[in-house]
Amino acid sequence: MASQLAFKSRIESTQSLAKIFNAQEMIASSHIAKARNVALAAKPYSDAIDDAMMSLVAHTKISHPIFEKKEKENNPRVAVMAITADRGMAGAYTSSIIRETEGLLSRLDGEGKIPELYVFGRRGVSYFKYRNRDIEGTWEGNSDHPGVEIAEQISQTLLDAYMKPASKGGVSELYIVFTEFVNMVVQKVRILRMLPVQLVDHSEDSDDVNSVGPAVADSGVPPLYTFEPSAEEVLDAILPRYVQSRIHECLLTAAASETASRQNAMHTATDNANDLIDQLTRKLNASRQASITQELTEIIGSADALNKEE
Amino acid sequence: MSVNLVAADRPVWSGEAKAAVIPAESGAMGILLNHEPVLTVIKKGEIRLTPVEGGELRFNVDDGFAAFDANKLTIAVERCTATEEKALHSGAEAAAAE
Repeated sequence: MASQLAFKSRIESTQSLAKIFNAQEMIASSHIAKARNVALAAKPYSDAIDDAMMSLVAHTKISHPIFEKKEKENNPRVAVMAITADRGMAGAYTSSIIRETEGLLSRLDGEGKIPELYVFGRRGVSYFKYRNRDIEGTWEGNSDHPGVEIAEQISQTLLDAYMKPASKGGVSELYIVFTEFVNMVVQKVRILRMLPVQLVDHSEDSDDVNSVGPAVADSGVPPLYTFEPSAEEVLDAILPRYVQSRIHECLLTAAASETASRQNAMHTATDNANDLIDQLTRKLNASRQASITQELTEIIGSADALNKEE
Repeated sequence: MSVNLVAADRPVWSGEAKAAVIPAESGAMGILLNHEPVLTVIKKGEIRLTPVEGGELRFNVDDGFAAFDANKLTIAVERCTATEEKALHSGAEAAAAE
């Protein structure tokens, strides 16, 4: 049995670890409320854009590159964007994103496509860099509270890649791998085909992973808008914003998931540390008891021996 | 008419207004009750709102669009800052909302 000193020092170090985990958990749970508020605050803007998109779609025979474009050109290059965390201590958050991304990459490879990788979040970047993978673009920092600016940068880069002609290295599709925040306990990794935008009726297949875009309302008469300066120019102005707001939405839900999974992971870690402290304390007590018993036996034994001599 | 002004990261102002002036692509556009439905691109400029309770609100905005129909005006902009006294106003409103 190990010495009491060894047990004591192990208990102490486990206690300080438990304190750290506990603090991390509390920090994460305070961030969740914030992340949720941020997501709620951004909702009206994306709703407004969705509405505007819906009326544009209802009114105009849209033929914008964002909707179909390059599938005809047979361009095998596609972009894949993985949204991971900046910091660890979030359980399986980043590793499940990476697993899904790897799966998607090999699936695309199998379909004869050439995936180009874009990564958001330091953990993901270091994973792919360590394996010497080609990364087209990376963004780091603020994965737990992404601002509008970073969404703007990302959508700018990705749209540029999408809008470029195939001969200049443009891509024909854009996939986003991110974590959806279902609730505090459940976060689901989802693969979303962001571009080209598919206009689908939400009532038919709202569960379809590929269904992005506003529902085309076929019931009711949509208001007859006048477009200023023209329908095409309004479309040109709104579509990039639409993509940007979708990307911002993905970033925000990913941030909420990251915080939630960090809280869960830290909660489990705290529980484990406390269990370990209990076990070690029991062992410490047993070993102290054993040493007392041994001392007593020695004293009694030697006293007996002295008595016999007399 | 009801006005809803939202920025990319937060709702800015919503309420009833008598009139609105927005910096449309081809120049400032004034909107009163029962204006025809319109969807316009907004460039950098100033939005002026006249709430029913009187006074005037001014916001500096940047890039966005505005949609008006059925006496509902929705203005979505990328960046928005309140100028002058309505900084106070919206602050008080935000406090009331919380």
